[in-house]
Amino acid sequence: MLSCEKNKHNIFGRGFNKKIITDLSEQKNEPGWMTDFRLKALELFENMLMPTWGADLSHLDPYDIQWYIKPAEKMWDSWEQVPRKIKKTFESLGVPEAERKFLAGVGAQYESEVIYKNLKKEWAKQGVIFTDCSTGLHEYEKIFKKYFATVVPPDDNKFAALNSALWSGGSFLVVPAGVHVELPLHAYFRMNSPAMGQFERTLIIAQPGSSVHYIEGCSAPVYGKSSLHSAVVEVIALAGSKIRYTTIQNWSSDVYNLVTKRAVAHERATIEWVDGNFGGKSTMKYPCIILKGERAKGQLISVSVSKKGQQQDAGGKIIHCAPHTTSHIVSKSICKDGGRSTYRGLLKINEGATEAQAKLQCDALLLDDSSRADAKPKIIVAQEDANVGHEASISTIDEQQVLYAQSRGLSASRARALIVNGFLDAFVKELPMEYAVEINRLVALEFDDTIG
Amino acid sequence: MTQLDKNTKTITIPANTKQKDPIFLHEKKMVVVLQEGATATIFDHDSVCDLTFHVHAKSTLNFFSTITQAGSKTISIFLHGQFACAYLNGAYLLYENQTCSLQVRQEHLFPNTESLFVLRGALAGTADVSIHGTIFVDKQAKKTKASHQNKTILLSSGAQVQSCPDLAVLNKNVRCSHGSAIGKFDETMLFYMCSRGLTKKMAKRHLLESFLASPFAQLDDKKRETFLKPVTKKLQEMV
Repeated sequence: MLSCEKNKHNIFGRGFNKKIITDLSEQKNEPGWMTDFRLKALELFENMLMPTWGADLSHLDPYDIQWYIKPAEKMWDSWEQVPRKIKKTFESLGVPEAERKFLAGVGAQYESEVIYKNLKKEWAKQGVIFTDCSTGLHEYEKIFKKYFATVVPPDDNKFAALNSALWSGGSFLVVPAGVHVELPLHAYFRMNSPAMGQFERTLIIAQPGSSVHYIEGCSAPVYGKSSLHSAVVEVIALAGSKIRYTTIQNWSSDVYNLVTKRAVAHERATIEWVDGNFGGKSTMKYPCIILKGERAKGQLISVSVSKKGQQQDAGGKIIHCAPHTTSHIVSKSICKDGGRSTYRGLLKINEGATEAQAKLQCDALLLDDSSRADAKPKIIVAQEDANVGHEASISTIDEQQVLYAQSRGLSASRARALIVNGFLDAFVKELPMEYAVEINRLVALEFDDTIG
Repeated sequence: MTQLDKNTKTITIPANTKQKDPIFLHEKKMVVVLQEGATATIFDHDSVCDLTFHVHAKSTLNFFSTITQAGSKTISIFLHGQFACAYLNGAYLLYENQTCSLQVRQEHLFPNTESLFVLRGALAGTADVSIHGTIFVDKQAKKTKASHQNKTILLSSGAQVQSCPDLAVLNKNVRCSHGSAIGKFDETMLFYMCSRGLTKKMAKRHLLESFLASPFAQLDDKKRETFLKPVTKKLQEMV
């Protein structure tokens, strides 16, 4: 199962086993406990079965991918120093410009490692830590070890086990108590090689009373060979803190996007997932919030757009474990040209979560007869005074609305694009303005035939 | 005229028959066929465990069901022709350690069909109910209107409900929705009734009665009262 295509960047070839993972860990100079962690995770991965539900993974062979490509020897903190070829890729995506204009810091991952990380001085002075996970492991081992794999253990599911064995890159973010990072921090992930596997690991800790907004974006060119993105994201919001985690996923149409994202909200903490899925071949992603402490709040707003050949199997999970917790899930999906979307979610109120309030809303727009939409929420309530509501709908664009817009001088195509924009409004209005403008532009390009 | 097949368990309502009196189901496993243009009202009180309806073109099914005993129930509705309609209304009331599993499938195979499922329930003690409702709309079933709504009041801390509605839609020109709500008594309503002189116990009983009776509003008062007698009796034991 090991065919070697080694070169100075792809030093391990395709496939992996115990020895290769031990070599990776040695090369990264990791402490013994991390090497053991990786090896145990590999064993778990080998013994677990592929999921029999969700998106079609029948053509995915995790062993037949280039799972580690080292793009450079080190990480830089200045764009001038980043090699020209890599810098050009990120410049075309607008990343350096965004950093200059409206971000507190940027991390850029190219293939398997973070090649650029920079945090503006004012936040670094206040003790904010924003680096990649390997650096976090070496330089902040105590706090890293305290929280690493506590929210998503390697036995959680098969792809969490795979990520735990092969992880590389990602973000490590710690916000000290009482610090409010007013501008977003942005991480950008790029897979540039064919048949690539990216296994980034993100760990975010907001200390009591702090707040931060973290944005991640991702893209890859189209090669026609399947790639795999299998990330694990762990978010911990300690008492009274607030974390907003925004994802704009626009992988190319040959990427399997299988991600485990989970957050824990302690007493009076707030976690918000804003999740946009626009690309990928098959996506399975269900951001989860565990409301562990009293009066914790959770919110999930997600959007998925499925086009020809795409299957977006996404949703969210919220589990109420403490009294007076509140949650709200809004999910919007659009299917066109034969795309398929499935909302899959869980809303659970445990016994003891007195006066918990939860609302779940999922809506889907089908734009043609070749597309398909499913909604499969699951609601479990074991607390008598909880208040839980759910609604879901699937339909197409209302022709009366189109006719009204046409009567006001718009073309049918432009009217439909506007209606789709309105349908996505709950998601778009949660984004920073620069991203919202970009999403509106993308929607217009996608749904308005009059724009070339 | 109703034809009840020998050896059972199949009821066929002939074409263009408007069934005046409701049909009560008694067997555990039943199939009910409404031929083209037929209209029928079917009642069930904890009898049937596995019930299948085949509703053909231009026919209308009105189904009313109550569940007051533990067990498992599967109801499947297949809409086999244009303008077929099925309206299903149910209420359940469980207490102590009763458990119940309810699976409902509404399958739309032709255009211009309609199916509406409304369920109300209340749980006390350590009762446990799981509700799986699936709406499936076939590729050719354009202009379908389908809905699944269930609401539950939990009366005690040990009671638990699992609600798993499922929508699978293959045609864009449809209106499909599902909704689920789980909660406790509205304290404002209780307070209002108490302020009118009712004891809290009486107020709860009246509110529960009206909550559980709401899916049966289209029945005339006498029929509704008769049909809901087992539920009312159980409420008096519980509250």
